[in-house]
Amino acid sequence: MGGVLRAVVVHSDRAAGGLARGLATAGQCALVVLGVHLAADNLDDRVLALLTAAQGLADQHLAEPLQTARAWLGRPPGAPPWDALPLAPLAATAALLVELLATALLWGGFLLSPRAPALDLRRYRAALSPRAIVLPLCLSGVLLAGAWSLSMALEDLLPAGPASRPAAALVGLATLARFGWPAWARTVACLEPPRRRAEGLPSALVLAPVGLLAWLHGVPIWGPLAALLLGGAP
Amino acid sequence: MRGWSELLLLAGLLVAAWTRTPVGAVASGAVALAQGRQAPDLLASFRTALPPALEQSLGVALAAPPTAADPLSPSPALHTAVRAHLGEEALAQAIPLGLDQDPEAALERLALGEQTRDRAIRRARAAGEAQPERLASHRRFLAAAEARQADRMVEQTLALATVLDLSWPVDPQARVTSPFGHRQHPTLHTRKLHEGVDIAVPVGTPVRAAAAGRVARATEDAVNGRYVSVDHGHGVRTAYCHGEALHVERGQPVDRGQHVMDSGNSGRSTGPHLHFGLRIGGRPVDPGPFRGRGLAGS
Repeated sequence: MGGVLRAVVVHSDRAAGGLARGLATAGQCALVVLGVHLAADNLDDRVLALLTAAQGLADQHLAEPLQTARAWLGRPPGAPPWDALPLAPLAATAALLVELLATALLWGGFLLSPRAPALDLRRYRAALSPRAIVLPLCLSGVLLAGAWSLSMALEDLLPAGPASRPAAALVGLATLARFGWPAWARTVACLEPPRRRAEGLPSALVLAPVGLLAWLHGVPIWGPLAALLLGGAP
Repeated sequence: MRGWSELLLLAGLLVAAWTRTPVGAVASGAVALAQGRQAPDLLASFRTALPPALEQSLGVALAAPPTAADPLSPSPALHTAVRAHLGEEALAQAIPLGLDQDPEAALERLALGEQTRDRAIRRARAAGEAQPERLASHRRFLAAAEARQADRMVEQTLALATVLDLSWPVDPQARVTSPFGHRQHPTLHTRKLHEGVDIAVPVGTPVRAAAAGRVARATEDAVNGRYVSVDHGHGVRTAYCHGEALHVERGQPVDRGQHVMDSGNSGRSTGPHLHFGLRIGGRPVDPGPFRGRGLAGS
């Protein structure tokens, strides 16, 4: 009886592992989605601050010329058109568009490439381009942010206690090892030598802010690092 | 059990991406549309602060006479706001949590509990956020439902308290010549919403900030003339229009009762007056009920 049970466990475990390996690309895509969203959630605030500042500048420099132009054209005076703009939904929509675009670009990094060859520094040097610089940096931030996002979601679900935080951290690290590293290695190893020097510049311009925000707000190291370097409570 | 662990990890990733991101909303929206159901809101997973919806609580707060305990409390407007927005029981619970010392922290403890707040602060600290104890800094590290709960119980209550603390920018005895609401416009001759009140005051009358805040705009246009808009925080703004001279600049912090402008007759105006406007979460609200609350700074 014990032997049968052990065989069932071993076989089901093997089948589960096989299924997980078969769907590994889906896991890599999901990790990217989580990381990009954490960055885009911060981008939303930045865009809102930018739009508010732009509205203030428009008030200062454009409101008066606009009213003068209206008077010349014989139109009745009115509040400037940017006064009634719904800034918060506009900012969220802009962040959403960047998020979808960045997700598509990062997915393309490994979905459109053949199965990963081994990482090779010489091959990477030959592939050097704006995209080849920005893509690995952005993707690493996004994958770290995605893993942290997953571990926070898990910690939110677990009952509060001394084990919830280490368990969530462990899941985050396991996710990085099982899905993050293969996605990063697959992307970097499949970079092709550029045909033009500026190849990939537009995609790098989309990915750079996402990567920067993922590194700045999605990696839980800055607080402990600052505490370590400057002193104080971590 | 490595295979099962990997499969569980994968399932967790897929569920988190499906339920917590716009890409997941796109996928679930496609499924919903195929099944003839309503697609989810793509912007719902962004934790943008909700604009406060306070009309009902504001009505309750303004209608209720202050209780005997209120005048003695260190912050009557705050207590009235908590009572009107969250109820008497919530007020009794919030006071021992430090409502009068740090209202934001006390209301957040009441809304989410100490553990959830501490967890979000710890995450904000780990991410290197400045002032991790402030809700604005650690809000992003709350689950979406918790962030919405914090908006409703903390931000909206504080917005209500800010509004209830507003005072009148000129002598409350000055006549209101045009109240808030729809009216026949005196110069455009069309029916329009009058988004404030017009107060008859002579040119040069000092106009005072209705509460402490930061100057959001101090500028001039053909409609409002020379005008000042003050951001009091928590989505509350006041505007003072048709001025003669501005005494503040954009970005400058102002105290309650600070002289921000001299009233005048600039912009689209038929005579010397002050237009006093109030907006909560971007929506115009009648400032009329605050007339009886005395001159700011007196």
